[in-house]
Amino acid sequence: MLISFIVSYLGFALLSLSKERHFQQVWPGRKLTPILIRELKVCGWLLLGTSLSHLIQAPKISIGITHLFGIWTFAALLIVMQLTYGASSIVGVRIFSRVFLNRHN
Amino acid sequence: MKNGFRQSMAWLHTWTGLVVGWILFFVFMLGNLGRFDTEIDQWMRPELPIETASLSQSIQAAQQRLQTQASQAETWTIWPATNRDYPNLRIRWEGALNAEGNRKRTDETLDAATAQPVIARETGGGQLLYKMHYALHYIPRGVSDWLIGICSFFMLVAIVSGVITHKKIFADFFTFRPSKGQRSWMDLHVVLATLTLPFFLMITYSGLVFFVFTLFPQVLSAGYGSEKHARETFNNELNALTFIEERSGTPASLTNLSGLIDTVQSRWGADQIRLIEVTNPNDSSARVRVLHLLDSSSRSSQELTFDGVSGHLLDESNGESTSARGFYDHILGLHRGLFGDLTLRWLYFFSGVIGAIIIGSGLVLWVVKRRPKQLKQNKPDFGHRLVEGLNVGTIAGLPIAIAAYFWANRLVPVELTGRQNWEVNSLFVVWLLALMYPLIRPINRAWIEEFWLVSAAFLLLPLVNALTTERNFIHSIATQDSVFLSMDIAALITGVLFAITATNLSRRQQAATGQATVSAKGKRKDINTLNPVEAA
Repeated sequence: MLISFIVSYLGFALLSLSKERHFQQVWPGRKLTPILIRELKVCGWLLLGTSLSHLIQAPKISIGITHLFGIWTFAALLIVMQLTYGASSIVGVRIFSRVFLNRHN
Repeated sequence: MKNGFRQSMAWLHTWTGLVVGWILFFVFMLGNLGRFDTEIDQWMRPELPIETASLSQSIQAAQQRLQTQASQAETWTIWPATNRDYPNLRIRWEGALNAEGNRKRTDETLDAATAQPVIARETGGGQLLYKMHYALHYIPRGVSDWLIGICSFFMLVAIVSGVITHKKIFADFFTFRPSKGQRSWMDLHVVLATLTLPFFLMITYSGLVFFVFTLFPQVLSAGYGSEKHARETFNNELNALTFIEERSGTPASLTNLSGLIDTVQSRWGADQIRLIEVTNPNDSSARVRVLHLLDSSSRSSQELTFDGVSGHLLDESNGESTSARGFYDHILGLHRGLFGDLTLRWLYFFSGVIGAIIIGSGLVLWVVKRRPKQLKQNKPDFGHRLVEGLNVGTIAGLPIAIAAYFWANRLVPVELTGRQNWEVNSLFVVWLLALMYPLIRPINRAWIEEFWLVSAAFLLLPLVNALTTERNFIHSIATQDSVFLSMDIAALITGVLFAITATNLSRRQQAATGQATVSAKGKRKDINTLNPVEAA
């Protein structure tokens, strides 16, 4: 459950970064190119897809689905709070900047 | 009604949300506390011992008590302490159907060591808080079912119309902009509603399904007529209890129930029993059903049926049934969430808290939007004042009332007859006072003062508990009493959160009045920030 939470959290982080407003909150002054948007979105959705693996390990699929909706809600909520009150505190930002920004600039 | 589809939906969202908003807030708050009804029950009956008896000892004690008290009852039910929702051994017996189509039920909590009822204060406990979220109080079920049913319908309409009204679901998915007045309230309302939409939709829809036979009586009367027994006949068929027979009238002594445990445990493993139900005890047609703990989102689970006289296993069911009933069971099971472990319960709880915040922020938004226009008039409209007052009295007042319920549990004398009613009365009296308080105070002062009251009431609760029971904070740590410890901590956290809210509000209000005097009148948007709540 914790792993699915972390994976969905990172997924939501990438998806939020694909929006101009939040991209500027995290990396002020950097340029969000269309290619970068696509990369962020694809990776974000892939991570969210990975969090579905929780369904396999849950005792029953109905319980897994219930968990997963809760996990997604609170993972995304955490991102919202961090974007608002301190975007640099988002876990993984440094790695993201190495992976996504350096190649383009 | 406005022109254009989206405008119409916005109108619909505003008004369906407003008229039932306060009741929905109540429903959400109490339903939420119901996620921990068992823990609250334990806290509200501090005399109850912590159950230590073994399963077979408990079942033996239950059978002994039921045999002496209700040997001729129609059904017995035994909830051993392995059931998470009843941490102490509990029994119930039901008599035959009376003229009104009801059965007389008696419930007891037993001490497994002595097979005697435990003596604990009379209280509605967490169960009553939970019950009020769907049955309200002081009014008959026939009325409350309709009231809550209609409110839930409004809620469903508000959710759907809200989703249609909200243009930028994906663009603003992660966006919250604080300290911008109306904009911030809108962001808060929208971002929380988007993130918890699956939960919100599920809880409202499934809540409505509970009332399906009230709101659509035709479903039942089409096949079963409209007599008083119709509901029970229907339920019996629905539950397809094929092994349950009519009472034969031939007396036969009931098998030793604890003797069945071996068979049960060889199939399910240790401590997996949710409840044991005996129909027609002491009759040759006696049957014993043993139900497994809930282990999926369905509200039904595996069960074993035994012959009550010989003790032979008659049937083994995996709890699955027709797709229609399966759907019904899963929808209701999802709403209750009883299958969940502690993590899931907390997820449910926090989702519900967010639900209450969504409703509350929606109610506040209604006022914030109309406030500038109202301030230009000499005197605000009655409707505007009413909504403002109800908002304060409900959003801040209801938490005070809930705290009063807990206080009453500790302060109303244990010997007083009917003390259970006094606990409930104190909840509603305090709520009524909180609703009237904005009449005598300026609205922004009323907000701050009521928030301080909530804070004080919850911060002092652990102290009240320590003074009136022996299970104080230190005792809880020493004995690793997680329920009492959690209640104390939860009360403190609630108190601190409301204190922070109150401080923020008064700081904003001071800033706003300061600005207003400096910058003369209406130069900036001060008029908007005069009400501190609106500037948050």
